[in-house]
Parts: sequence; C-alpha cells; structure tokens
Amino acid sequence: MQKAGPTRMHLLILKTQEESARKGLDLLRSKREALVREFFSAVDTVVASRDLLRRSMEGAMSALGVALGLDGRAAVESATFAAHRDIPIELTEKNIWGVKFPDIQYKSVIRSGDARGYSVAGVSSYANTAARDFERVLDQILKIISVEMRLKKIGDEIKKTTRRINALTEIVLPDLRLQIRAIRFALEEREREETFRMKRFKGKQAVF
Amino acid sequence: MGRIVAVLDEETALGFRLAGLEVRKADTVEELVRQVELLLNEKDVRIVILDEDRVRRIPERLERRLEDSVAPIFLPIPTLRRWEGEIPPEEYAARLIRRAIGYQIKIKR
Repeated sequence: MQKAGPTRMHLLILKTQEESARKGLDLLRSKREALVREFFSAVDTVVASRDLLRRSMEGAMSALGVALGLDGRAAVESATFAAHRDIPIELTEKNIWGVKFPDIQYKSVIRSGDARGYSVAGVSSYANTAARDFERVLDQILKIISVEMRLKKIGDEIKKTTRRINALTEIVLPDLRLQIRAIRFALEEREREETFRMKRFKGKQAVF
Repeated sequence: MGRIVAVLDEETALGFRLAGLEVRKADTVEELVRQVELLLNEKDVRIVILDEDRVRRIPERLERRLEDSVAPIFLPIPTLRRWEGEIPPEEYAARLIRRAIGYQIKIKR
C-alpha cells in the first residue's frame, strides 16, 4: 500500500479509507451470512434429491433386469433403437445475490406408452416399464443439475467473500491503522516541537 | 439448444437408451477418459451424465476439470452397477460441500 506523507490532509484521507473499509467489511460479512444460509438450504435439497435418485435408479435397474431376463437382450436392444429421440435442452443463466448459475429449460422427458417410438404390441410390458422408470430417472437427473450447480456456485462465492474479508481484516485495515498512527505520531511530534520553539522564542523575547 | 449425452457401462446404458437418451459406452476408466475428452470439445453438448464410481477413478486433474466445467455440465450418478462402489447421498453432498467451501462437514439426518 502507498505510504502517505505525514500531513493532516493525508490523515483525513486515510481515516475516510479506513471508514470505507470497515463499512465494506460489515457488508461482506452480512453477504457471507446470507450465502451460508442459502448454501445450507441447498444442501438439504441436494441430499434429498440424491436419495430419491438412488431409489429411482434401484427401481429402474431392477425393472431392466426383469425385462432382460424375461424378454432377452435382443428384444430390449431392438426396442432401444426405436426409442431413440433428441432431447433438446437449453441452459439459461439465473442470478441470485450476484451469484450466477445455470438453469436448465427442458420439455418433460417422460413419454406416454405409445410415444416411445415402438409398437406397444411388439414390445413387452417389462421393457415398457423399464423405459418409463429410466425416463423418470432422467427427469430427476435434470432437476438435480440446477440444484447442484447452485450449490457449487454459492460455495465459490462464499470462498471468494471469505478471501475478501480476510484481506480486509488481515492486510488492508491493519495497514491503514498503522499509517494513521504513524501520521498522528508525526503530527504530535511536530506540534510538540512547535510549542517548544514558541516557548524558546518567548523566552528570548523576554531577555531582550 | 443443446444435447444431453450419457457415458455409462453397458447395462446402465441399455436402460437410458430405452428412455431415448444418446448413450456412449465406456466399460473401463480409459474409455471413460477418452469419451470425456471428446465431449469436452463438442460444442452442442450441454449435459454429460457419468458413472459416479468410475469418475472417482479418473486422474484427479481431469476430475477437477469436470467438476468446474459449465459447458458441458458433468453430472456423476449412482449406477448401482456395484454396490460396494456406491457413495451414500450424505457422503456425496459432503464431498460437494468440501469442494465448494473447503470445509469437511458431517451431515446428520
């Protein structure tokens, strides 16, 4: 930080800078508190969503196992060719308290039985159930992504805010206070010298 | 508009294909790394779904890159292919938190 000359002007400037830094520090601390609250509410959602995803995945995998066991791999693989589709998604950016994170826009991925591309008569209900279960898993995955990205971005912002708070409390404010104290000492010293000089001057005048 | 792609083992891939998703097969960690590196350069891919267990075995530098990537977003999911490799939801969230804020916390439910 630039060292100021020991003048009253510099003292005033440094005091203003210290005041601004203290106000900034209070603001950053409030921001961090708000972010931490938001962060922990997102944590609950992530844990619950992951739990749900895990259970849905279990169900979908067992439905797939049944379909493979009863229909055979060839029949299930044949259904996958017909079931293929494009799943268009769009990523937009959301902004909460200055934290930007991606938000996913998509049309529902869960299809009705007759919209899966294959003939309902040609594919067993087991394969159809497995397809429906995996579509549900996919839907949950798309929901989870936004929450997890929000969690990551809020975490990044908390780290960034903490670094700024540390820089202010450990470097900027102590340095400003040190400079203010040095200027105060210099000004007081100058004042004492001035008083002493004036006394000597008065003493000399009294002699003459 | 963008695409969503999954890179999974053969069994799980079959299920997601039934759901109509574009799936690339990766039965080994080496195949997964190769597919991921290809996907990082495909501009229209927005989301990549990966096997959580395999992602933990890829080089740490690449894992970090995937975690930080926004285009595309990489999402590891539990595939249940092997039960011992599965991460409980609390542990997964705790790992996310440690990476996000730098502290290890224990989640009680």
